[in-house]
Amino acid sequence: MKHHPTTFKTSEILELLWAYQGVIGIRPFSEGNREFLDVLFGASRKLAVALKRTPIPQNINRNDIATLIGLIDEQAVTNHTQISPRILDLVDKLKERLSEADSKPTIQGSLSELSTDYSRITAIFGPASGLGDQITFFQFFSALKNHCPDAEIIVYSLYPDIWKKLIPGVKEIEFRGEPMRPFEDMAKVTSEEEYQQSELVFYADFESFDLHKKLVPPKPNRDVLELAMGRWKVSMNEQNSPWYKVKVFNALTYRNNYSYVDALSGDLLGVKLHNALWKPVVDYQNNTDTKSTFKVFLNTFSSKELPYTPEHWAQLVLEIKKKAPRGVVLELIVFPGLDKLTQDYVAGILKHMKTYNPEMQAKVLAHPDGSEVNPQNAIDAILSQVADFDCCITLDTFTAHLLPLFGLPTFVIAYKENYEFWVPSPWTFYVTLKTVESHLPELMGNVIQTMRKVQPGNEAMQKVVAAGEYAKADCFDENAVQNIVGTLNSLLQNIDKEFPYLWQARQWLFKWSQLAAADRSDPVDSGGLYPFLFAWTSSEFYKLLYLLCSTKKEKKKSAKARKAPQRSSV
Amino acid sequence: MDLSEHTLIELTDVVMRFKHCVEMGDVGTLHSLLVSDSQLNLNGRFLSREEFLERAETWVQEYQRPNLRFDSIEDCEVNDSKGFISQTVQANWIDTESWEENTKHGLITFELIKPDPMEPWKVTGLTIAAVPSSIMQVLGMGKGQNFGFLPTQLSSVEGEGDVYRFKV
Repeated sequence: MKHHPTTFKTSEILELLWAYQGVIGIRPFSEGNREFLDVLFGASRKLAVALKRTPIPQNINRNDIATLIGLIDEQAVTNHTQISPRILDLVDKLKERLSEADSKPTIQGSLSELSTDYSRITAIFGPASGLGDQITFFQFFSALKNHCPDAEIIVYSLYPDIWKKLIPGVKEIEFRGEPMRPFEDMAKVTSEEEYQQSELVFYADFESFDLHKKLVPPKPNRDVLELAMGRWKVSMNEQNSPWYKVKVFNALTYRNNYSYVDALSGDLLGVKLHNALWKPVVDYQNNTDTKSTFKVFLNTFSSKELPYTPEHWAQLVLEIKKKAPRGVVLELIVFPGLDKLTQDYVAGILKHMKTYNPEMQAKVLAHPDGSEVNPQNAIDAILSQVADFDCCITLDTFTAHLLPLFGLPTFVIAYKENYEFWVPSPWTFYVTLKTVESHLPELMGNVIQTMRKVQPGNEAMQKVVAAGEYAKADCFDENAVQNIVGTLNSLLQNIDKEFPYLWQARQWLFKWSQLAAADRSDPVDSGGLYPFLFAWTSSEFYKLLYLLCSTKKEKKKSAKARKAPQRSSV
Repeated sequence: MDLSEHTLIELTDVVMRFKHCVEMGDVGTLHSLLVSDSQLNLNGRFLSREEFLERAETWVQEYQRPNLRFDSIEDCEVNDSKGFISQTVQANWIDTESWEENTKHGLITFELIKPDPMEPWKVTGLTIAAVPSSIMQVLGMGKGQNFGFLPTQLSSVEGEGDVYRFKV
């Protein structure tokens, strides 16, 4: 049995430092995630301490290491964008001196399907992945758990308490302030049995850092994956194979991160999540009735520069209220963020709300145990109350990815049309900064109206939704296209002429019949038509029909169904 | 497959052939699409097939780069031998005299028959109705309006989005 040394080499520490400083230097940080910026500073300082303690290679100048440590100590919120490039330049220079030829060649090519017999799966989510990016991997992670039902699963995350909620039974280790912890733990081998244990390690991040080559210690039965969402890339080494294999998914059906995750599941697990791309933990079920208040969960923060003042939000809510159906009482629950700055910002929103909407109920989200929201309990605070919310408005991508998984209709304000990040959920609606004013109040009015309908969609509506969902989930062939044309045509013959976004349906009836006519005269592979299916099922008209056709359940039952899974004991 | 969607797809194909004739200036094929006693209405004026085709010849001479963009099906009624389909359209062309590019929005409605299952569809009625520009102005006013109380973009964020990548 061989023991990997637990003392990290300077080159390994520099690799990690490069990753953390890259995030600090390149990722935008506003008030919305100042707290996470502190986490990254803390990790860098821990790496600086490790550099001080580790043996320094002969070809490295000790003064360079001292300069590096000095820069890390100096780094703060006020200067991080200036200091980080200097650190990265110095780390680059040092890495160059330490560069060793890769011990194994890397080849581009197809990947092997993963074993179903792993005794352990270790997942590490790196610092470049935002919480929203992490949640995007849920679809793959969930399929992986089904692929290896007997494996013990350990997850290392910088965001506390997320994976236990999404995948009950996993052991979750928060490694804030301990950047080397996952790699230290993997290097510890206490018995021959553990050394021979069949194991999968996957390192998932937004960027590709090649840490699978540089920091994951090799073992005879250890398969290692590195997933880089921002590059739609996967790297792999199986059972200490002499090759590193890499594949970049350039030709995805939809240019969307969920499509990348779907492709991963196809290649590595042999299961497509199908063209639905996205599956919730809990399905949407209508839980409002005509008497209840309509509870809106609002998250106004983002890692990027905040576009609005607290007063803007109060004005926007007023416009939404104007478009809400008559008799609907909106109640606002506002996410306070994780920093003093964000708490002050939210206090400003509530103050302006009193001016613009004196009668509107609005409060700050608190944990059900009465404590204020903090980094440790934020996910629990949100998910333990998700069943009580009727919808969410969010600027932040983490709630955009998280809350639809629990069946909550979510309105996302995107900074721009960066479709690759958009959640392909039937109950997630997008507007951009340019269209918020003109679209969001009306859209929300229409959705609230739809959610409050007691009668579900009629048969013709249900057939349109069934045709779309059939094509997404099972089989998208010529018959599926004709089925969409036929059901949509029948619906439009008798639909209420005031039905919202009817113009979209009329456009799509033409588009689908044009596609069917074209396919008849010059048949094409149905894969080429998937982007049209994606666009159709992403239209507001289709989504409203979908909600309407899901309006079947009684309030109590559905509220219970939407409740987040309980904290699992590990 | 239901007969109606089969027919609707065929009607769409006729519409696309009509579009092709207009865009290619192919008056001969346009002639073959219309039955001899077809009812043709251009912005309220009834025209015979010959009058309509004569006008079409003139348009071909006077207008360059005509383009019809069909947007949506406003109405349709189909069975195995008769069809009615009404579509919104945006027409663009370059006027060779003024050398300006023009755009008009309108509705084009086809009435069609298929006397025999083996024969192609024929146009028995065609209505081309442009939306008057005064109405377009009214329609445009209330749609997608910003009241200006929110900023719509940020100079520091525009162009960055969520995509950030490192030098590697």
